[in-house]
Amino acid sequence: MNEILEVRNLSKHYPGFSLKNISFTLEKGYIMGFIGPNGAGKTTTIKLIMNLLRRDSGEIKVFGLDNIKNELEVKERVGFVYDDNHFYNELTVQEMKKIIAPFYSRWDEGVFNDYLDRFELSPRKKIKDLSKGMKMKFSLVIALSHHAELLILDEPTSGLDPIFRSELLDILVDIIQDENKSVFLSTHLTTDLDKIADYITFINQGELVFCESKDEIMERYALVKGGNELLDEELKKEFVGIKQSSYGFTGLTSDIHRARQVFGSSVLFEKATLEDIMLYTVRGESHVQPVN
Amino acid sequence: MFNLLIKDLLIQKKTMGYLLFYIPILLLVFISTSMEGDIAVVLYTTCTCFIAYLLIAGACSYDEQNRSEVLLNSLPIRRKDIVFAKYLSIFVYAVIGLTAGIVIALIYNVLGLGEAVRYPAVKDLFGALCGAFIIGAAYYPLYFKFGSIKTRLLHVIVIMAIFLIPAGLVWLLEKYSQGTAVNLLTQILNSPDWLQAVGSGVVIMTILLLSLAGSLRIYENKDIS
Repeated sequence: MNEILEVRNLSKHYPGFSLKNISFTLEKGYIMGFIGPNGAGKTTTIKLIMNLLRRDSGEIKVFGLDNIKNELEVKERVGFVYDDNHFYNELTVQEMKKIIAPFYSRWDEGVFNDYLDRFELSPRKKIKDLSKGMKMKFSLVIALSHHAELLILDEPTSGLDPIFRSELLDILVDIIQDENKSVFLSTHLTTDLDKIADYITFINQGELVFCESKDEIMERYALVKGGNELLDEELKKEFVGIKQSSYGFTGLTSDIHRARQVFGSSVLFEKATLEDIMLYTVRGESHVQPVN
Repeated sequence: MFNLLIKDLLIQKKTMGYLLFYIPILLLVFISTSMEGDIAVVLYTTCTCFIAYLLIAGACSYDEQNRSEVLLNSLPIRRKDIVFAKYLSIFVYAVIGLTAGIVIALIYNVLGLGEAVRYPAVKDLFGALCGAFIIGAAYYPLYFKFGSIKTRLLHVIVIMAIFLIPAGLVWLLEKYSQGTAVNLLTQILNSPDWLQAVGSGVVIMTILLLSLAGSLRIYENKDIS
């Protein structure tokens, strides 16, 4: 059993939004980036994995165990960091730890204190007096102090300064040096994933766009730039998304080999970033601007 | 589960501090009430119910303000344990309330503010606990379903209903049963104390268990967001 997280045909319906048949798998020893625009269903998926929301259909297995039937065992081995603060503002860091620690059988006081020192978090400080970044650090300390095998992070880097963002990414890379651990990281900031992710799962409007290794994605996708005279309605369909101006077009292809065959040397090929892929996929046809 | 109980007490340190201010206020209210008869029953029941309500509503309000349901339900805790802990807390809050009542009686007696108030007997403990259980039983299903803010309003209505419906039923029976209901009520009131206590205990426990079952059902199926 090499899969640490398996999501199969996961669906959840709300008035005005549906998560439709999402499937992906994360293996041990890897970091998976979970990307998509606001409202794509990232947080809903994470809440379904954590059994905060009741799924309509589908299956979620963590460490090979059903996340509902084996809820306690699963949560014992999962560390979580959410984008919002859910700690009690009136309590101090130390008091909050006293509430949380007894629930974990593998709570490690030494690790907790080491991370408090490393992040310069005072145990006597009240949660309400911590900055957003400090609260996020505290969340991370809690997540790391019970020897979690799977870390689930929902937008952990938003609102953080670049120094701590970089430090956080280093910590995540450190974690997966233990090949039995994995990280599932939802973020808007795709540049973070350019640096550390092994796999990318991309969802849009509640549907899975792809779940692939980052290297394969980077090899497959490319930006194609050329003059407007090269395009007709048929050729526009070759692109995932396309942006046109009076100077020419830039399109995103999901199959660079086919694009090379179709356009040959008449266009310029550039490496696409994850941000490009997300942007062009989300905007799709609406990216096309009228040419004057 | 006990960790959750400790959590509810810890997050209410401030509220508990306020109790030190409530006690003199309750004492003043108590002094200004020139009631006839056994005023100790009123003192202990009022203190217990009032403080239990404050702490029940306070803990739920803190949970909601801090959106801590997300945190708690992400920890290795069963949802049913979160519900059980809330119901267990009613008892703890009732003990705190009763202690406050005893402190008031103590201050009242030591300062000689009036005719000495007796210290609680078993019947006072029983009455006070029953009051707190009714308040909790009415509060928690509403809280788990609607959240803290709506519950504060709905709770008043439910508590009123709990006391008014039986009174209304008695009135209806009195009117239409041609004296049978009055006779029945008289018989109940004239029955031995232990029988009345057992009867009340059974009714209160039934209400509490129904409330617990309802809360469990609501919370187990709830989407936490």
